[in-house]
Amino acid sequence: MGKVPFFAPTLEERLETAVNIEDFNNRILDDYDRKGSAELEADVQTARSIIPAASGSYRDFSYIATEIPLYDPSNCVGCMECVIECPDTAILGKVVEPDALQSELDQVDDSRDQRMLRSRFADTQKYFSTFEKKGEEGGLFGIFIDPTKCKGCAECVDACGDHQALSMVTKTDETLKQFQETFDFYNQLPDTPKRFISDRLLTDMMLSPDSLLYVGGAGSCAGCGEATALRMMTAATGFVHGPENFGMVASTGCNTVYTSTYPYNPYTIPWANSLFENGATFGMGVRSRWNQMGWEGKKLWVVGGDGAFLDIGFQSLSRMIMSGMDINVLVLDTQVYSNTGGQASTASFMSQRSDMAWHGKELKGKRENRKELANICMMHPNVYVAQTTCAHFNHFYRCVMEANEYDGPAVIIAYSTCQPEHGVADNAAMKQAKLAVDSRAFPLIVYDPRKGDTMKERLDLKGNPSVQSDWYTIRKTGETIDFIDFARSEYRFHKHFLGEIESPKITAGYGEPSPELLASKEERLANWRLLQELAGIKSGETAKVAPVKQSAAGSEAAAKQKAALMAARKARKASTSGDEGGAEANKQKAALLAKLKAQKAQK
Amino acid sequence: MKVSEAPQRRSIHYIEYRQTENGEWISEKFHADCELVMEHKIADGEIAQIEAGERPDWTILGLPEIRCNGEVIKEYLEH
Repeated sequence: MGKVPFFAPTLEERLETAVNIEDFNNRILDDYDRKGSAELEADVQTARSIIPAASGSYRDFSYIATEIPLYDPSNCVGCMECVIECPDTAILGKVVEPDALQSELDQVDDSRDQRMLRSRFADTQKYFSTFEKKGEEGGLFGIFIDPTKCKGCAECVDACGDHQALSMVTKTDETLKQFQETFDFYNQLPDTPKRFISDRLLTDMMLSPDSLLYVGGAGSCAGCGEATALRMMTAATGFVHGPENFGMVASTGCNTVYTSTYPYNPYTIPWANSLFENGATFGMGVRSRWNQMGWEGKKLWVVGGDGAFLDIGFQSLSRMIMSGMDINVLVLDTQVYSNTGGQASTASFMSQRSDMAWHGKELKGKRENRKELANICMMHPNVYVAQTTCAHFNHFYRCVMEANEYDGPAVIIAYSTCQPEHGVADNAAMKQAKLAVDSRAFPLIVYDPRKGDTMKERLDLKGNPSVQSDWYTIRKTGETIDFIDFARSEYRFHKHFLGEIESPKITAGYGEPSPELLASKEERLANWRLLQELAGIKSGETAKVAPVKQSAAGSEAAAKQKAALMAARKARKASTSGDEGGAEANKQKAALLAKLKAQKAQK
Repeated sequence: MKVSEAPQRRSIHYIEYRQTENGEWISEKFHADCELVMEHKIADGEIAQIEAGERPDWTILGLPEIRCNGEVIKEYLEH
């Protein structure tokens, strides 16, 4: 390989010599695929910390999972939710005009393969019948799986939900080959014609190649909630402003580790990595230079986790907001330091168990309240603030689009499920994010200074269920969803349910909530009532809340309860021999639980 | 139903086509433990293929096991 100058005199020359793409694609990617670390040669890109755009598309994850999604076209309605929610760009949709499809199918020799490929397309009402009724030719809609990108999380199956058009099926060598051939066929087809991509339906965005700026191949965990947020943010920005008018700065954290594991880069757009604490100020430098170059219209996003923006880089974020610069910030809020093994952050929920906030004899998880970054940001002048989740995709997309339109700083905090640290299944990102909103753990917020002069004009809580009430009640069933329901569904809170302590046979989350968790519920309610008051939904007495803290008294009560349960368990073990012993233990357990229940009712 | 009791994963082991007493065909996707996972809307031409012992086109990709009235179809067994 020829010598590459480090500092070429002009921008054009610098760009030309930044990376030798041919060498990178032919030698580096191939070497990383085949060789062990001891055999790898040093290369100039590593030395200069450069990874060519979209090199992640070459990464093959097909060996990871045992299952892959199976698409059932006759059940598909073309809603695109599976495509939106996939964290790995492993499932894509396309609308094709019948003649264009036929002409591609005619080039396939094997009739069985032809039938298989034709069967990938559905005559949906959305893209076919509606257009035919208008006198236009309808389009055929198909969903395609990229087997090299799919990690088998099954998030798409959950996103599809009641449509029942996706399920998981076991992979074999033969079917893997089929899936690859089918995906190659998808790539050969023309792009979705623009007439099928409605500007009003935000869910259609990912039909456009301008939206697919995150190509997958990132090393994120299966089902990662952060990766979906990054995909959706890049999609909404690229779709409206064009892929050429957009760049990113990323604060070190999980997001930078999985998107820049050499030699794989999932982004097609310019991206730079800052230190953990200074993504926001790094962004100020980029914005200043871009403005000097006449690039005021280019959109700049700074991304990072809750550790980066609520803790270590909090001051840097505040400084950036005060500058009034046109910079957008996306906070991937996992409520924990995900990358370094799950230490508590100021975004962690009260009572949440994590490293540095363990649940044991003395401590019962995190004792502090959750820091509400959205509330703090709203108190800075002239800043757009939103709190959203990928499960509420229309809300999410709208927030990103509004942040891009806003002439000044914007901060979007996105609830991001972290499967290993939250203790939830790989396919649970969307479900848990929805539950976080329903349970007031993480309310949806839009604060737009353009909407008026008063707080209540600017703050919008639309999208939260039962917005007038303390908690959400499901009309059909009458069931009320509160923070305890959310906590029950995640392993990070399981120690707070006494059933778990009593008997490991009882599934986590089925016992009575601990006093500390009940305090956490009150803390979430206090935050919700504050938002209701600020948004002008409630005022005066109804919005009044006492300061909530995880009290020492609460911890003592929990310790007593635990001691009683442990004693009962010990007694049961001592007396257990055969079925009679088991029955006796069950009696003891039932009596103890009844006693605890009665004590609670008395209180 | 509490959220923690919601089904966690929907993977299928086989697809069953069944003719009911009134002659109507229905199709369902099942898990290995014979638990119904979800329904399948039958499209034009599928039943003719099933009656001929062939795999319906939409199942050529992924090659799931296909049963017709309790019997595994010929094409699956021969494959």
